[in-house]
Amino acid sequence: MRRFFSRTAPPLILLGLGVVLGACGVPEEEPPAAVEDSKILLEEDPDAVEGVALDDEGNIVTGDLDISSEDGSAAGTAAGATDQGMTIYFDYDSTTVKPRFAETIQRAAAHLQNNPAGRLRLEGHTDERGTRAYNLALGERRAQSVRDMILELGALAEQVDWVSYGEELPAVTGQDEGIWGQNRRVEIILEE
Amino acid sequence: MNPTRLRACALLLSLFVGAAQAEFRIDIEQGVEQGIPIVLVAYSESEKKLVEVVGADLARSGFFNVLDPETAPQAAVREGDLNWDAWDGHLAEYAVTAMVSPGAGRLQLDIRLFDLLAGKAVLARRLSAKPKQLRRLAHQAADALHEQITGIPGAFDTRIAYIGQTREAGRVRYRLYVADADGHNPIAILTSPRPLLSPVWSPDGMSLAYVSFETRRPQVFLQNLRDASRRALPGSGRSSSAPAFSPDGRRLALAMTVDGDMEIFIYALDTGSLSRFTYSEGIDTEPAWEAAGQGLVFTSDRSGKPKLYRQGLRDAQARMLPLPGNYTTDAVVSTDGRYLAFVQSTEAGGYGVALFEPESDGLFPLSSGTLDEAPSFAPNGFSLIYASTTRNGEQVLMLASHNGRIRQRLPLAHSDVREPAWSPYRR
Repeated sequence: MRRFFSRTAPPLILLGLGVVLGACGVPEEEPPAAVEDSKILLEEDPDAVEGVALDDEGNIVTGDLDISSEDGSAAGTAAGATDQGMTIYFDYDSTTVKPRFAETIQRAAAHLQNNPAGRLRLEGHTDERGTRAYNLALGERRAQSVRDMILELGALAEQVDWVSYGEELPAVTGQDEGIWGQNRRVEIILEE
Repeated sequence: MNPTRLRACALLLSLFVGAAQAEFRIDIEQGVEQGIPIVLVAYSESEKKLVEVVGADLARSGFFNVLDPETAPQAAVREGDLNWDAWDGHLAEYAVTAMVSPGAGRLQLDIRLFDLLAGKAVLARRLSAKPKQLRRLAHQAADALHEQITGIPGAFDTRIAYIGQTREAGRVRYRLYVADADGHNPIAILTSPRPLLSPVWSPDGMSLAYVSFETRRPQVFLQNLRDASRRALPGSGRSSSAPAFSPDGRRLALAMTVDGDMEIFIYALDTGSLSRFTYSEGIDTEPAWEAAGQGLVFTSDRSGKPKLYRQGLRDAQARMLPLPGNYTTDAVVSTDGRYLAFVQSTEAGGYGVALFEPESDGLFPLSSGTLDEAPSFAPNGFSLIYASTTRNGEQVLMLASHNGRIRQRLPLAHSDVREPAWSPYRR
């Protein structure tokens, strides 16, 4: 508390309450509107929204998970063609893959084993709760959990790329557990 | 000791004690009544416009009760001096007059501060700016008044950076904005179809570091505000996040993944050398430099839960900060090193911003929202800006005074804003 006093009322200023009429502090100006000259518009890349296109509701359009069109012989089960089929969901602040997603992981691993040139991209996501940089790390952990399991099943390391988007690209927007649960996920995306 | 200032000190002290008792749910309308009463006098339209900006600045600081200009006496001034007789019995302790005059192609402001209790003028300052920079003049005047009365420099003539998100023709756009500290004059300095986050100012105020997903991975970029040049750090091809400038501006702490584990690294901006700082199993991220640059505070889940740790630059071991709860993350340190602001989970299941004073181990919750995050200190260490999500899901920026008395939504022209970063003082 004593420290707070001395900081708020430096003795010099306490004593120096004299009239300072006419003392003119004319601040030097910065060069005009420095930041105005530095606008950057990143190029729109037609591929930029691949896998992360948003519909009018702000939901991610995940049309790229259509495994049956990827390779009918490999993982072309009917279930594999659905959005849910290749997305793995997690508990709050957890990076543990639940047993019910074992089949999904097996399917992804089998696809890679049957297609030596095949590539997967794992995109880790979190819900909006918690801080953004930490969630970036959490999403990465989730993607790595899935990657480790796929590699254990015989896929090659170079076949699996992974990235975390943290909480930046929610599948669904809103604020309740039902929505958060849909956002805590790893999307398995087959790449050509 | 001047009685007014003694009162001000006592007031501040009582506010601080109040903060310790966690009396934080005070709206600005109620909170200001305890501040130092001050009235701003204006006559012409430009003076009124200017005084409005000055008054809003002072009110936001949490130190002042800015009275309605209408309460000023009819004949407030006389022959260049305060008409002292007319002020007898006035509620205010301070009166301010502002005279705006067009100088030689420049706007000129003469601001004067009168101590009504002591019965004398205590500050007279002439400021000038280009004709279109009336607001900037007002912020500079507010800075001078704040410092004269409280002894603490104002941080009104500063800027903020933040991220905004919009949907245009069905496509999402992320923008990095730079605006005045009161939210006016926003300029998008970067527009991207992919997410942006974590902007931080270099200590010289000349550049911003931030995370961009433009390469489809999170990567730290450094962008010069003057010439718009930008580069990826520590180099292209690797993911990096959570940048934090060292106080001397020569190094950047950031998070990168090695062997499947996120660790904190320190990147030397002049030599480009990269050194690893943490070696723990588990996530290490969100580094924040201590004020003197001798150590870092960061988030780690090595204990199983995300908690804040402190580690000196030469230390091999990190020490967990003595903070309660299972979720304490995203620390920032005030420039004087006195406070640490961070995010903690709340009993209601939300997230709030809190202050920690390392010297006393004092903990002062500042906010308790559903999703309050990303605190950033004003360069004077007495105000904070942070991101909040309203009940209907709107993302807004909030300003809070260090004592928790003032908590106010920053008025911005656009919605869905987040990740605020307060600039250093202008040079």
